[in-house]
Amino acid sequence: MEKELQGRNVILTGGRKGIGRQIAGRLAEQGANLWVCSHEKDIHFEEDMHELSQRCGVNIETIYFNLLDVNDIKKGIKRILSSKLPVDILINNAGVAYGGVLAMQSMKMFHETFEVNFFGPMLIMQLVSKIMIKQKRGNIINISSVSGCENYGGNISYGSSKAALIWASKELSKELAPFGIRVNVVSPGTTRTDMEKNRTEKQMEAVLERTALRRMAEPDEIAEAVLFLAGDRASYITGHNLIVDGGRVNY
Amino acid sequence: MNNLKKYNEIFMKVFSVEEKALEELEYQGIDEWDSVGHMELIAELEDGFDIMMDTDDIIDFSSYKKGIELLKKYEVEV
Repeated sequence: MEKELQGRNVILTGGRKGIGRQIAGRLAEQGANLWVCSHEKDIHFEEDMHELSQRCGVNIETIYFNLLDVNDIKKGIKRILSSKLPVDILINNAGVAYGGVLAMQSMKMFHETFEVNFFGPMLIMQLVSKIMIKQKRGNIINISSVSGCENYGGNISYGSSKAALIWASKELSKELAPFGIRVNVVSPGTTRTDMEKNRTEKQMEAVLERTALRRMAEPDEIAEAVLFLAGDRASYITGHNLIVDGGRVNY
Repeated sequence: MNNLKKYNEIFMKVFSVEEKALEELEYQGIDEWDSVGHMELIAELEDGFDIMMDTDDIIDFSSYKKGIELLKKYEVEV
């Protein structure tokens, strides 16, 4: 039986660990070739990706760029595009989380959060969508967060950057639809990754208290939602924000 | 194919216009050259001439003639 993403070429940012690493694994298992992007070179990551590539029989190339540096992003994406291979799927997963109320949030943190969570993905989409426009097909998935869908206080920069990403994705789904490009969002709830280590025990309890399933998601549960949107099973879905939060946000 | 021929053919293909109409062609001057058409034009030009245009130049690309001028920045002589 042919794998779901056999031969598709995917750009994935933030693929070194957490949700991104699970996405890389699920997509490779389904036959996708990957450019997995990370901000810092890491021998363990290199070995991990090599092993994944061998195990799944797909091509995986590691690409490094810093989402805080526009020229670095351009250099990284140009390196990918210079391969002249089609780009079927782009997944903007990399993100940074600074919690805190407005009074406790420096403008530097605000800028950094938006650079990584919003402006970086915008630039990458601007560059990659041109290739997809030429191809007359493509699929973009942006990883946001339920923090961009709800207001509970104490998450001003992260939440607003993720809300901006959701809005922009919906907007882009309209702009790019004439070219056969789908744009969707996955908004995970609390997920067992390093990012959650920033929460205190009390904060975690409060979050789980308002999560219907009363537990965190495993990264693979988020990756599964991304896989769905990445494949042809979701061929008629665009402009959608798929909330994967165990019943946390009331809509 | 020389660069002028390639440049013209991209315009003709993207906007379905005849060659004699190209000289006077301007952004939003015809229905086909709207923002969606502009994205397609840039994608085809970048692919055709193997360049990656800066966003400022994409915004500045206001006419057929202006495009010839802008492409010089990318060492493309039309």
